[in-house]
Amino acid sequence: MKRYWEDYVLLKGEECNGYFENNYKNSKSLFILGAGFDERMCEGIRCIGSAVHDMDVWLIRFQEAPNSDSLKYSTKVKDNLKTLYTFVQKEKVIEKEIKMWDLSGDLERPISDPSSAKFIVENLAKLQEYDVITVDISALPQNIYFILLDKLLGEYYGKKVINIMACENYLVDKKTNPVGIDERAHYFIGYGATGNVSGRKPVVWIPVLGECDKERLIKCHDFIMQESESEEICPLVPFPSINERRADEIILKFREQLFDAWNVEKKNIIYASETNPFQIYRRICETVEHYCKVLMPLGGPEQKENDSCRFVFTALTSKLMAIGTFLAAFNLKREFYNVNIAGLYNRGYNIGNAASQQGEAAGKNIVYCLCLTDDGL
Amino acid sequence: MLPTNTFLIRQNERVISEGAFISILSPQLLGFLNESCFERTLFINSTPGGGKSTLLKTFSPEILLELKENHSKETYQETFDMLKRWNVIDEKDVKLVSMKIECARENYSLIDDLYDNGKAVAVFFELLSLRILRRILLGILQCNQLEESDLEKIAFRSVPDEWAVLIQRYPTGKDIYQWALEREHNLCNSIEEMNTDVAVSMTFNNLSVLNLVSNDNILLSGKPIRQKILIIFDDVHALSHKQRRTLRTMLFELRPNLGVWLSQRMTALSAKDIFGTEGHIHREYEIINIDERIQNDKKGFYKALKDVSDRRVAMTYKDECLEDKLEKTFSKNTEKKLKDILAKIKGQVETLCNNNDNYTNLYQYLQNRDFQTDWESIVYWQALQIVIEREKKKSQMVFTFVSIYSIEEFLEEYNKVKKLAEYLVCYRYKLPIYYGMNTLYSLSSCNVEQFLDFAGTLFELRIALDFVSRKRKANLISQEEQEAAIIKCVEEKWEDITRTYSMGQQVQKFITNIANLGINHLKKNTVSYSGGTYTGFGIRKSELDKKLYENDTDSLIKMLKLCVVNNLLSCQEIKQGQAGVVHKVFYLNRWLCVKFKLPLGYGGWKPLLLEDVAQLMQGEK
Repeated sequence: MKRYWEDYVLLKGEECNGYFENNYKNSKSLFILGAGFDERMCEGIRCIGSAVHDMDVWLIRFQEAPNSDSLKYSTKVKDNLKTLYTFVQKEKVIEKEIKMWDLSGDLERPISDPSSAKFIVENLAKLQEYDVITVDISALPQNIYFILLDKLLGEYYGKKVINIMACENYLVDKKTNPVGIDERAHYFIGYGATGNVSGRKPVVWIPVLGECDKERLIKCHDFIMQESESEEICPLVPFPSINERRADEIILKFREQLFDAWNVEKKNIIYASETNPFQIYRRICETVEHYCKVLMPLGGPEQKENDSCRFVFTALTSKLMAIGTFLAAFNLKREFYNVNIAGLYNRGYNIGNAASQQGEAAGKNIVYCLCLTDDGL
Repeated sequence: MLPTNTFLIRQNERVISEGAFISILSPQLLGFLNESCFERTLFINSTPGGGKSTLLKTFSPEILLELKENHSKETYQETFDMLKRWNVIDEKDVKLVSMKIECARENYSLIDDLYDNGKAVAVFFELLSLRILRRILLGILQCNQLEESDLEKIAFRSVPDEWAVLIQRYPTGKDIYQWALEREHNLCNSIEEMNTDVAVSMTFNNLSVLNLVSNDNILLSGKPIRQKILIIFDDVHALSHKQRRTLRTMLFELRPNLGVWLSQRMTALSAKDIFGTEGHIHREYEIINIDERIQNDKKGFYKALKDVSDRRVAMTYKDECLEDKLEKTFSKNTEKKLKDILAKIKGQVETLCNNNDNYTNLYQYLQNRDFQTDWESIVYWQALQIVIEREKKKSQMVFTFVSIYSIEEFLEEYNKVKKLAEYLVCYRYKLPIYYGMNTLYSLSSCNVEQFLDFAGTLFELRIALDFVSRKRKANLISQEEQEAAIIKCVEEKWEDITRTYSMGQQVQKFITNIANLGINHLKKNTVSYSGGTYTGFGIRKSELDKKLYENDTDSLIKMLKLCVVNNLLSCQEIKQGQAGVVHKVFYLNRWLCVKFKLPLGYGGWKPLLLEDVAQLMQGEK
């Protein structure tokens, strides 16, 4: 299989500024970010804002569910916006809106997936004018940035410079809990959303784990299990990580599900660095290739290697690790592997406000930038 | 290794084999169906865990084949007989081909969000048509135990006009199947890639595929197939509002000659449908509301739950019931407390009887009566206390004389208040309240999955008994242990509310305030209701109807709907008091009664005005 990001550029913290200044100082640039309550929203633009001279900003506002718990953080959003305007001029900022909920009828229905897809398709032509597109996912929900990046890379990968930025702080992730979790998982658009037409194949599920609720993991498992008779589970955990015991803690948290209920073999556990999405990408690709090779003989003489089983990825983890998962899915799909990404909708977030948590998390933000310039395609 | 907790197996899980599914299926839960249901359009509504998935899975080709093949097995017999009566199966044949459209999993609502009006409907119907056609063809093969190559033997007797050109081009089952598969594949790809130029065919502009695959129209080797056709739309609530409306209209206009079932959560219904007067009028199609059916036949439902429990226990422990392992008598610690409790209650009754000769006969009767146990004695004395307190309150309210009870009249009254007396003693003197099979049945609140949750926690203890009984003498689960396990499960469910609902904290506040109505009433010590205290509230139906038609998006109506469709409150219509005054009574789900230490019996509800109920949504009461 052809791997798009065998060699890669991953920048960290202050390196980003120098890199952008040296390479894209005079390029026509676009910076896309979400208008969220996450305190890391402006960290990306803080890093590179001064380095690029000709940069437009698309500020994505996403409508919350009525009664969403996130609505109580509207002051934080306002504060973030104030901060944003200290780094960019107001006239450079174009606001875009993505509808997250369909409120027609008696039922509130999550529609962030199709809305994001529609948004990017409708705006593809406008992206033509830019040479460099940077998407900062720090304050964007997974349901939006997976689809946005899929369409963006699908259209412009190899044609334009595309960067993904994320500000990492696992303590902030730990205290930000999704609430109002949807009753069942779903597949993302472009990754199995309309159901699997090609019949039943063995399923290999790679849940990329972080500090999420057990409930979310179980819901994803039940959803995937429902249409598969044979299933292999390969959990991916962050190791090495800043907190050396993070992988142990995660495995300990989910031990009942993983080992007692689902009989996961310990040798199936995949380890990858929490701060290097390209390593996660590579580990997942290796796993996929391995299973395809092993299971191919079961499909008979006409079985193609990449069609011998179906893979489902779930990123229940930090943004940086989720991006690694997404890159693997994107690459594999383009190479005609059966890849699905499963996720869960939720109706907002609750931020833990214990003083100890606040203090501990402060000052631990680190900005990462993945430069997806293409030499390979 | 510990045995599996069979109560935690959910019947819609793929992990369990067909055999295990049938073994743990209680046919009594399907009792509301009849033969004609398989030839009609039917809406099946329920709250989560009401048993829809089990119902639908029962009629899948895999389960029907397994039943046919092994119908003589003891655990299959009852289900087989029931399905045979409905002409769904017999010893030789499976007589029903069902196929399922999974509206949630297959994400049809996506189409509505991606495409504009006309195109969205066309793509939706095209995808549905292709899937129905393909899955019916596969179902026919499966039910007749044929191979995929036998698709060639399938043809159609008559072809609807819309399909004429297609069927002419692809005349056999094999041809049309291949064509449908490829087209479905392309269509799904187009949707996933957001291809707005997707070409749709006029063939599918309505659901004429239902006429193509209707009963008696499919031929196998030139002869009509032996099976009836049933199309199941599962989780219809996951479709968009527009899609639900279009599908309903289309089915009504088409009136297909086959069975169509649409199963949905009550969440898909409007507040008017759930609470309003029109909600109960059967329209052009039949509606089965599983929760309502169960409410109307609680006895039958509890019998079914016993069957469900016995079948699950039998998978691990032959010839045993869960009840056998639940301690029915008090522990030694509790026994020790009873003498003190008896003395206290007697003392209280004595105080009530002081300077009042009306109850001397009853007091003397209980003093002289031989009780077999302290507990029996306590309950009688507590019952007498209830009777006296009620009479006193009645006389204060209407200034009438206190009724004088004969011993026979008191004994008659005792039977009515016995349960309440038992509860009050346990509540006031901190004895275990929630234990035993009857508690488990009550805790189900007419929901099978809820019963399985609570019974499962006790069965977990049953499994553990085998491993600890060597160390301790008893081999039963004590009342205290039962109660502790139930309370732990309740606490988890309570915590889940904040995780599951976006308005979780508001919901908890609302529920707490409803429970406080009951708690405050208990504190007043008047025990004027058959259940002991309020476990719900009632709103005049006329008042609620008026509100619904004025503004059904009001935050109170929304909260009531949220609680009812998620089975936190149950809604019943009760006629009481002045003639003609009907109330909509909202009872707490019985597990919420455990949370607030309220009695599990129904009966006590407080009549409230809408504005009072709105107040319950505000701060702590």
